[in-house]
Amino acid sequence: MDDRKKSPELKSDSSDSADETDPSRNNGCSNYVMYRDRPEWKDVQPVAQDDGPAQVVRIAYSEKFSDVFDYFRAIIKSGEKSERALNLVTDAITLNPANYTVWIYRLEIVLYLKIDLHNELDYISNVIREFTKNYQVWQYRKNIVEMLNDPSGELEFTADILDLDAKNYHAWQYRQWVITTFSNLIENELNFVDDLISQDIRNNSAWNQRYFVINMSNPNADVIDKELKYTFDKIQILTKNESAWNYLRGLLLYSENGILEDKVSTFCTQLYDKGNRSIHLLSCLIDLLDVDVNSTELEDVEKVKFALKLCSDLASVYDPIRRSYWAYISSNIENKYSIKEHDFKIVISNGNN
Amino acid sequence: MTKPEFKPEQHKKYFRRSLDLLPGESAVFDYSRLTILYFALIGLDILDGLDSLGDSRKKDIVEWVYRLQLVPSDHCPVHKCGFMGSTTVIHLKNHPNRDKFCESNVAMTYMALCILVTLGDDLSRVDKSAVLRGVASLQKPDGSFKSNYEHGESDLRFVYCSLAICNILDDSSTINVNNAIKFISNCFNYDGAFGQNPGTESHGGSTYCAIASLSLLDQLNSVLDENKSKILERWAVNRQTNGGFQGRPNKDPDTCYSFWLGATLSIMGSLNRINKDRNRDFVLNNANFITGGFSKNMDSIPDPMHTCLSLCGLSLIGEEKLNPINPSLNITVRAANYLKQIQLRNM
Repeated sequence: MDDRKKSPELKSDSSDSADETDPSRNNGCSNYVMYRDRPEWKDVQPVAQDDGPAQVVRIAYSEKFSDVFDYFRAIIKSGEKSERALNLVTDAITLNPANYTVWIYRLEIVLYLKIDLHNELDYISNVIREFTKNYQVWQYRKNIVEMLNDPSGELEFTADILDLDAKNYHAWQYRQWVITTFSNLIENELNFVDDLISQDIRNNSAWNQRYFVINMSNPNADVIDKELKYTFDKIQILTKNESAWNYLRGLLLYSENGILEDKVSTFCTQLYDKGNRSIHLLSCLIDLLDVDVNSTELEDVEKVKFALKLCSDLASVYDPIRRSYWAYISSNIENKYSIKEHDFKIVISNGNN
Repeated sequence: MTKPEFKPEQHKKYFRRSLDLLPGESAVFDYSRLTILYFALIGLDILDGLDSLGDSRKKDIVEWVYRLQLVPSDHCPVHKCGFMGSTTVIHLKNHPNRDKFCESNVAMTYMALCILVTLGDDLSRVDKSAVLRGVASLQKPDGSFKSNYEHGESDLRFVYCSLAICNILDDSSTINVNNAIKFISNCFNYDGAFGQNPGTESHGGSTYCAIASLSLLDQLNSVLDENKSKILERWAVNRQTNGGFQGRPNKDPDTCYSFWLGATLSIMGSLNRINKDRNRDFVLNNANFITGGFSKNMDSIPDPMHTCLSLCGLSLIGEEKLNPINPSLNITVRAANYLKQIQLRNM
C-alpha cells in the first residue's frame, strides 16, 4: 500500500463557516460527519470529559470538538493504534494542537503502524504552516527529524516559515537546534542571515542569528574586523537601529587591549561630528568614556563633562521617555569621577515618573 | 489627550465570567484550563476581588485543582507526579498502562500551587515529595528543565516554573541548583538579556524567567556582575517604546511586557528608571470598556493572560486600588506572606 495514501489529510473540515441550510447534525460543514454518526466507529463508546462535581473555567466546546475528543478519550483508554485512530488524532490536532497528549499518542500510533517517517515529516510541515507559533508542533518535528536522523530539508523548511514571519521565535530556535545538532549545516548561514538583514535591517532575530553563527565559528581578529565594518555600514544606513548597535557592542566582547574600542570610538565620533544624534550613538559614546578615575588632566575632565552633556541631551531632547534612566546614568558618572560642578544637571521632579 | 481612567469593577466582572464559562474559541486552552484559572484568580486577588467569589465557590475551585494532582501509585510512576493542566484525559488517572499519556506538566504544577496559596489553602494535600521528585526527573544534564516527561521541550520557562515550585515547597534538595544556574547563565546574550535557550534571541519573557529564577535562588549577583547588570538594565529600559513595552528590539509594544519587563526591573531595583506615566497610559488604553479585560494591543480582543499581566504591570508601578504583587513568584504580596506562614508552620 502506498504510504502516502495512509497519510491523513491535515483538515477534514475546511472551514468554520456555517451552512445553515444543511439539516444534518454536522456542525455546519456539509461533508463533515460527526464520529458518533460514522458507521465505522459504531463499536466505540465515546468517553465524555469528566470535570468532577464542580464546574470551573468551563469552555463552551463546539459539538464537533466534544465529539472528536470524546472519541479520542475512548481510543487512548482502549489503547487502539490503528489507521482510523490516526485519522481521529489528526482531527483532534487540527482542533487543538496545544494538547500535549494527542502528540504523544500520535507518535505511538505512527511508530506502531510503522508509518514512513518522511510522510510524517510532510504532515508536520503542513501543520506547522498552519500553526506557526505553537510549541508542540515544533517539538514534534524535532522528534521526527531526530528519529530520521536526516536534517537535509530543515534549513529550507525553516526558511519557508521565516518567509511568513522573519521574526518567528519558534522557527529560529528550531533552526539553531538543527544547526547545533547536525554538523555541516552552518556553512551558508551567514549568507542566509545577510539576505534577511538586507530585506529588513531592523530584524533583530537575524542580527542575533548573525552573532550565533560568528560566535560558533571561534572567530579570529580578521573575522571580527570584517564584522565591525559590516556593522558600521549597516548603522550608517539606519543610525536609529538598536539591533545593529547591540551587535556592535556584542563585537566589543571580542576586544583585546582596547583595539576595537578605538575603532568604534573613531566611528562614533565621526558620526556625531556629522550631526547625527541617534540615541544609540549617544549612549555608545557615553559607554566609551574611559579615563583614569583619578585623572585631573584637563582633557580627561572635559571628556567626563562631555559624557554628562550627552546624558543631559538624551534626557531632555533625544530620549525624553528615559529621562529618569539618563539622570541615573549621569549621577553614576558624577559619583565615579567626583565631578559635582557642571552645567548638565538633570532635574527629576516627583511627578515626572 | 485626557488621562485614561482605571475601572477595576469591569475587570473583576471579566475575570468572574472567565471563571464560569469561556467561549468556544477558547477550546485551544482545553488542555491548559488551569492557566486561565491562574490568571483569573491572581488578577482578582490584585483587584482585591477574591471575596466576591464566596467561600463555597473558592472551595469548589480548590477541589477542582486538587483533582488534577497525580500522586504515586501502581499506575503512576513518581516522575509523572504533579498537576495536570486540565481534565482532558483525567479518565486515564489510575488506569493501568496509561501513565505515558496522563502526566503532569511543570508549568501547571507551578500555577496549581499559586492558585491554592492564593485561595488560602495550606497545601497539606499536595504530595510534596512526589511533586519535588517529579520536578527533579525533568531536569536535563545541561541544567534546564522539560515541561513534561514524555518528549517535553525545555527552556527557561520551565526552569523558572521548576525553581518556583521548589521555592513554594521550600525544598530544592531534589534538583541540581548549580546546573540550573549554569544553564541560566548560558542563556545570557551579547546584548545584555536572556534568550529561551543558549544562543536564542533575547526576549522579555525569557529575561523575566531568568531574573525571577535567580532572585528566588538569591543568586542574582552570582550570574550578573556589575557590568552585566548595567547592560541588562539598559536593554530592559530600552524596551519601553511609545509608552508600552516590547518583548524584543524593533517589535511592537504589548501589554504583557509591562509585567515581564516591569517585574524584571522591579527585582533588579531599577523600576524607577522607566516612564511610569506613559507605561500606565499604554496599558489603560488597551482596556476594553465593554467587556472588561485588557488586550495585548489595539488590534486584539481581551484575554485572561493579558488582563492579568496588565494588572500586574499596573500594580508594579503603584496604581491605586491595586494590591501589590511579589514580582518573583507573581502572586500578590498578601498571598506570598500567607505562603511564608505555611512554610514556617511546616518547619
